[in-house]
Amino acid sequence: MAALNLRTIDWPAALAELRRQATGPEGRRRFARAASLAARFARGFDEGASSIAEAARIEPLDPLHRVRFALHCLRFGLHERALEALDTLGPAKDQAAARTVRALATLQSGEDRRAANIARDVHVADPTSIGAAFLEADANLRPHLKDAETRTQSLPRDPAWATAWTHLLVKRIVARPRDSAKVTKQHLEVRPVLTKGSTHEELVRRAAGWSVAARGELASSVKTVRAGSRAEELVLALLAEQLRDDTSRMSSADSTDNGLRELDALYRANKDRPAVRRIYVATLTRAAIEHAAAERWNAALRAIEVAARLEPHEPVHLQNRAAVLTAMADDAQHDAWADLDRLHYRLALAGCLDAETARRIAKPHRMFAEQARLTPTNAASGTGSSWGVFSVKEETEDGATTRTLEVNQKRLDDDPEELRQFIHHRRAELLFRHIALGRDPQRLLLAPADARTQRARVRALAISSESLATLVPEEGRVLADGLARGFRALPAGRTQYRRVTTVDDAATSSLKLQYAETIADLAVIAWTWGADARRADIVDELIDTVDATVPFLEESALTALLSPDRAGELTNVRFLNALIRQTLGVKDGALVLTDALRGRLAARLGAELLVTLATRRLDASPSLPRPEIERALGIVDRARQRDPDYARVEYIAARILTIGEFYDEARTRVERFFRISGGKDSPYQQGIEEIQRILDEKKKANVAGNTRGPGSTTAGSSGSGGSRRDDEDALAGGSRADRLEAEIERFPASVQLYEELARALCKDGRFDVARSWATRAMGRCLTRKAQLRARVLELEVIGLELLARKHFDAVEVYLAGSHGAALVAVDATIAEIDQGQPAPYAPPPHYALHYLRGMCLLARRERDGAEKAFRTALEACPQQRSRAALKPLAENVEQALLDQSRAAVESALAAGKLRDAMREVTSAITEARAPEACLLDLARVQLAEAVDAVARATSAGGAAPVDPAAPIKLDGTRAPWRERLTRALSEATAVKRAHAVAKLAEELHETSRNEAGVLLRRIDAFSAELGFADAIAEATRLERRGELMAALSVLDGAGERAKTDPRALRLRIMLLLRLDRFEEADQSLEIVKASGHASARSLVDKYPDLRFKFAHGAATRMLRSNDVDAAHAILVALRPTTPEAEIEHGYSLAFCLARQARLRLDAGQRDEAITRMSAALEILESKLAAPGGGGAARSRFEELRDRLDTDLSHMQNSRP
Amino acid sequence: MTGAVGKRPRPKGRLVVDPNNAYARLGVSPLSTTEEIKAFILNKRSKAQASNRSRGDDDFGAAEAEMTRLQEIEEEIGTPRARAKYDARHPQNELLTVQPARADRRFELRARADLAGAWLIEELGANDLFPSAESIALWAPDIDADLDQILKRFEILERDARNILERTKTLDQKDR
Repeated sequence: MAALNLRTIDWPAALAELRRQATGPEGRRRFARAASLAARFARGFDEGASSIAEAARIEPLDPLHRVRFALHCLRFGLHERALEALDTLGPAKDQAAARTVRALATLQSGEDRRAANIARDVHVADPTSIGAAFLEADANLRPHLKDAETRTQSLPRDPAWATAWTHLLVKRIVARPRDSAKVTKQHLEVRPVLTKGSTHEELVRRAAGWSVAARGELASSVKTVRAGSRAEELVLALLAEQLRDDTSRMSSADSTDNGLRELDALYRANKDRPAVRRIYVATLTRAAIEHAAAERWNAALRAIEVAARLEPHEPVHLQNRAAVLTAMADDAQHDAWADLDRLHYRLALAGCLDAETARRIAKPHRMFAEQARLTPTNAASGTGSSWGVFSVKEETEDGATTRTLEVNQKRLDDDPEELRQFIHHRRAELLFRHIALGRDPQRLLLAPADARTQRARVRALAISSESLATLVPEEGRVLADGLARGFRALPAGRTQYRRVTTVDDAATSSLKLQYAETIADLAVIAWTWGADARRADIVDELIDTVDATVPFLEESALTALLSPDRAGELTNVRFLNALIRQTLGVKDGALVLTDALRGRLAARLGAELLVTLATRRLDASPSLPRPEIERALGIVDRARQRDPDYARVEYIAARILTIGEFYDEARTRVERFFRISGGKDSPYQQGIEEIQRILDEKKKANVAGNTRGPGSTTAGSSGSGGSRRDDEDALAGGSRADRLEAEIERFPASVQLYEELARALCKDGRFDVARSWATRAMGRCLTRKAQLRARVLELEVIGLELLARKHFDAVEVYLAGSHGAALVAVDATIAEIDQGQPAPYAPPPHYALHYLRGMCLLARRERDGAEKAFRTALEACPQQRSRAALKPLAENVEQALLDQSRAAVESALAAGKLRDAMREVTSAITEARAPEACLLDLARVQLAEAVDAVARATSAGGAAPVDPAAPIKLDGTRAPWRERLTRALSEATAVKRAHAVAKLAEELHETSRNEAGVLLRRIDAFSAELGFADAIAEATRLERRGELMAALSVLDGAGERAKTDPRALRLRIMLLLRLDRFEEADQSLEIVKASGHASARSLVDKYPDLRFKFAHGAATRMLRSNDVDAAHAILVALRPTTPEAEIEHGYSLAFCLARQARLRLDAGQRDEAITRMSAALEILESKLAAPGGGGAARSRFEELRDRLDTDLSHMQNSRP
Repeated sequence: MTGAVGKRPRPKGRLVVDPNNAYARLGVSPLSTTEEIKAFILNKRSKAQASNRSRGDDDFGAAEAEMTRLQEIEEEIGTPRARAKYDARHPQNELLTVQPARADRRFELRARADLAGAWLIEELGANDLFPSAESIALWAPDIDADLDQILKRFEILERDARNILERTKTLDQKDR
C-alpha cells in the first residue's frame, strides 16, 4: 500500500467527515488529532491556530496539540509564543518530541548554543531521536563548527536520512561558502552520505557551485533559475553577500556606490523579477544604515528615498525616513511619522492586518505614547525629566530614596498637546495590540466574564478606534469606522463566557498590564492635573480614554504591578489601588472587579475631571459673570450624570451655585451632599459647612437668590428632589420644632438650625430635648467655629433651664433677643444659689447661669462685668467641653462683642437699613479695644452703600446722590492709624471708600486678612462691573447721538470684557454695521454665536436681515455718490433673506450694472458696457418672469427694463 | 486656544533617545539579536576579568566597576524576556534606528540558512524528517491506522484520478 501523502489531502472535507463521526471518545480523539495536524496545511496562521485550538478543546490533556501549536508558531516565526505553549505542557514538556521542538524554538530565537545543548540532551536521553542529533549539528554550525563536524561523524548515513543530510550540508555551505569545496569532497566523495547522481547530491553540488561563483556568474545565474523561486532568492542573497564583502574590504563610499550601480543595472535588466528589486532595495537600505551610523544623514536620506520610491508599499522605508529626519532634528519629522501611520492604515484597509502587522503598527504609537508619558533625558537635545506628562519626584527619607511620578503641571500648562499625544497614541497602541491577539473573540476581548463586560469592552474598543481618525484624518476615519463595525459585530452568542483558568500568554498578560498602568496614569491625571480652562476638548478626550480603558482593568494585572519585584518601577499603580479601594469601598482583602465596579471607577474618574474643569473655569474668570457660572454648572451637571453618588460633585455644585447666588438649588446640593456622605467625615466637610453657614445667613435675611433656566439639568437630584418635595409637604402642617427637626435631617451640619431648634424647644419648656439637640450639634458640626457655637448652645440651654425654674418669663425675654433685660432675673437666680438654697438647684451647675449673666452684660456693653462673669463661669465649670467654649470669652470678651456687633450689622444690611448698619459699626469701632477688628465690617457697609447707589441710579434712570461718609472719631492710642481711616472715608465714591477701608483692614488686622482679601476682590469685580456698565452706557449714548466712531472707541477702551460680553458685542455689531464695516461685524457675530449666550440669540436670529438692510443701504448710498464699483462689490456679495429683499436686491444690482455699463461706454469700452447692460436686463427679466413678477414693484421693474432696453439698443446700434 | 482640536497632536517637544540607554552603554545596535548581545557581554566580561588579573594598584576597582556595569546591562537586555520588557518601555531605541525591512533579513547571513532550507523544501518536499518546523514527519511521526484509512479517502490526486477513470468509462460506453 502506498504511503499517505498528507500534502494532497482535502483537509476541510476530511475534517468535516471526521467531525461527523466524532460521536464517541475514539471518534473525538481521532478528529482532534486530525484537526491539529491540519494546521500544518492551513492557509494562514489564524486558520491553523483555530484548528489546533478546536483540537485542544476536545482533548485538553493530549500534549500533542500544544506541541503542534508550538510548531505552527515556529512556521510563522513566533518563537516566543511557541516557547510559551511548550511551557504550559507540565510534565509532558520533558518528552523527546516536546524537547526537540523547544530546541527548534530556541534556535529560531537566536540562542544557537542553547538549542544545541537541548538537542544534545534529547539525543543522549533517547539515542533513537536521530532528528535531535541532526538538529544539534545544525545548531552548532555557527557557534561551534568543530562540534558540528564532530556530530556529523556519528550521524547515520543510510539513504533514509538523505533529506536531513542535504539540509545540513547545504546550510553549512551557505553559512561558510569558502568551505564548500571541503564539504563536497568530504561528504560527497571521500565518505559519501548521499547516493551519487541522486537529486539530493545534485542540490548540494548546485549550492556549492553558487557559493563559489564570481559576481558576474551569479548575476548570470539569476536568469537560469525560475522567477519567484527560493533558488532565485538564494542566488541573489549570495550575490548581495559578495557585494557587501567587497564594500567592507574597500571601506569607502565609492565602493558602496559601485555595488549599488551594479544592482541598479541588474534591476533594470530584470524588472519582471521582484526578487531582484528586493535585493536592490535591501542593499540601498543597508547603505542607508551605514550612512546613518556615520551620521551622514543626507546620504542616508537619499538612499531611503530611492528605496521608498521602488517599494512605496513597504513601511520600513517611511519609518527609516522619519528616524533620519528625527535625528536631524528636522521639523519634517512630524509629517514623516504621520506618513508612516497613514501607510500602515492604508495597508490595513487593503486587508493587510494580521497579527504581526498589527504589532508593527502598534510600535510607533507606543513610542509616541511613552515619549509623551515620561520623556527620556537627553542633555544634548535639552530634554529632561520635566518634558513629559509626568515628571519624576525623588524623596529621601532615612537615607532611602523613593521615586514616584507626578503630573507635570508646568509642562502641560505650556503645551497641552503633550497630553493629547499621550492619549491618542496610547489608545491606538492598545487597539492594535488587541488586533494582534487574533480573531478569536474570547482572546481579542481578553476573556470577558459575562455579556455585560463584553459589551463594555466592545464599546471601549470602538472609542479607542476614534483615535485613528484623530491621528490620520482620512484613512484613520475609514479604518476606525471599519474596525468599530467589526468589534460591534463580534458575535455575543459565539463568545463563550467561561472562567479562565489557564495562564495568560505573554502578549495577553502584557496587554492587561498596559491597561492597568494606563488607567493608573489616567487616575493620577484626573486627580491631580489642573485642567486648562480653555481646553475642555482635552478633558473630553481624557474621559473617552477612561471609558476606553477601564472596562479592561483586571485585578490580576493590578496585583502583578503591585508585587514587590516591581517596586522600583515608575508607575502610578499604588495610587490607583488606593483610589479603587476608596471609591469602591473595598477596605482590605483581595479585589474582585466586576463590570459594575469598573463602571463606577470610570464614572468617578470622569466626574473628577469635569468638576476640576468647572472649578478651573471659574478660577480663570476674575469677574464671574452669570453666563460663565451657568456654563460651569453645566459641566458639573455632566459630572453628576456620570457619577450621581460623588459627594465632591455636590460640594462643587453647592459652591458654584452659592457664588452664582442660586441659593435654593445650592441648598438642594448641600442636602444631597449629606445624603451621599451619610454623615461621615469627608475632606469637604469644612467647606460644605461654610457654604451651609452662608446659605443660613441668606435664608435668615430672606434673600431669594437666582434660579436657573428650565434648560438647566438637575440630573442626579431626581431622588433627592422628589423626597425634598415630600419633606416640604410633610413640614407644612407641623410645629416649628418639627419643621426644624426635618430641616436638620436634610442639613445635618447646619449649626444654626440646631440653635434655632434648641431655642424653640426652650421656649416650649422642653429643656431636656433641647439639651440632647445641643449635644447632637457637637457631634455633627465639626468645624472649629461650629463646635464653639454648639458648646455655647449647650451652656445656654443649661443656663436657661436653671433660670426657668423660677423665672420662666425671663427665659422668654432672653430668647426674644433682649438679653440685657433678663439680667435681673439671672442675678436673682445666682443669688438664690449662692445663698445655699436647697433643691431644685442641687447639684448646682450654676456656671451656666454665670455664662448667661455674661451674655446679658455683653448686651448692655458692660465689657468688664461680662468678662468677670465669664471668668467666674470658667472657674466653676467642671466640664472640659464647656470650658473650651468659655475660655476665649473669659480671656478676651472683645471677640464676643465683635461677633455681636457683626451680627447686628449683617442683620441691618440684610434688612436694607444702611444707616442702622453704619451706626452699629461706628459705635463698635469707637468702643472696641482693638478697633481695627471692625474695619472689615465698615468696608462691608461702604460696599453695600455703593451697591445701593447703583440700584437707586438704575431705578431713577440717572446717577443717584450718595451721602459722604461721616468721619469717625477715634482715640489715637488705640488707633494710631485714624488719620488713614479719615482719608479713606473722605474718598469721593462709596466704592473707593469701601476699597480703601478694606485695604486698611487687610493691612492692620491679621485675623481679617483673608476675608479682607476676598472682599477686596469682590470690590474690584464690582468696580470693574461699574466701569464696564459706564462704558456701555457711554457708548450707547454716543451711538444715539450718531457719534459712531467715538462709541466704538469707547467700547475698544472697555477692556477684554467688551470682546466677550454679549451686550458689548451687540452694540459693537450695530456700530460696525452702521459704519459699513461688514466683515468685522460678521467676525463679532461669530464670537456671539460661539458664546451661546441666551441673550444673544435674538441678535443671531435677526442678524441676516440687519446685515442685508445695512449693506443694501450702504450700496444705495454709494450708487448715489457715484462709487459704482464699490456698490457693485457689496451687492454681489449680498444674500437677500426675504422675498422682498430679493426684489430690492435684484433692482439695485440691475441698476448698478446699468450704471457701470454707462460708465464703461463713456470710457470707450463698448463691449464691456454691452455685457453689463445685458446682465442688468437679464436680472430684471428673471425677476419679472418669476412667480409674482416683482410684486408691488413690478411697474418700477418694467420702467427700468424699458429704459435699459433702449440704452442697450443704442449701444449696439452705434457700434462702429 | 492653542493647538488644533480633533487634529493629530503636535507637541512642541521632539522625539528623543536617551543617550545613556542600555544599547548605547554596551555599544551594540538595538537591532542586534539577544545572542549577539550576550556574546558581546561575555567578551567584555572576559576582558574585564583579564584586566582585573593584571591590574596595578592605581586602577583598583576599575574592573569591578566594569563588571557591575555589565551585570546591570545584562539584567536589562541580556535575556529575551528582560529585553522585551526593556524594549517595551524604550521603543524609541529600535524605531529611531535605521533598519532593514523584515523581508531584507532573509538575505542576511543568519537567515540564509533558512532560505537554503526553504529552497530545499521547494525542491525535495517536506515529507521527510529534517530539523525544521516545516517537516511533516515532525508533525506526524506516526498516524493511527484508522485515521490513515479515513484520510486516504480524501487524497485529492487519487480522487481526481478516479474521477477521470470513471468519466472515460462513461464515454467508452456512449461510443459503444
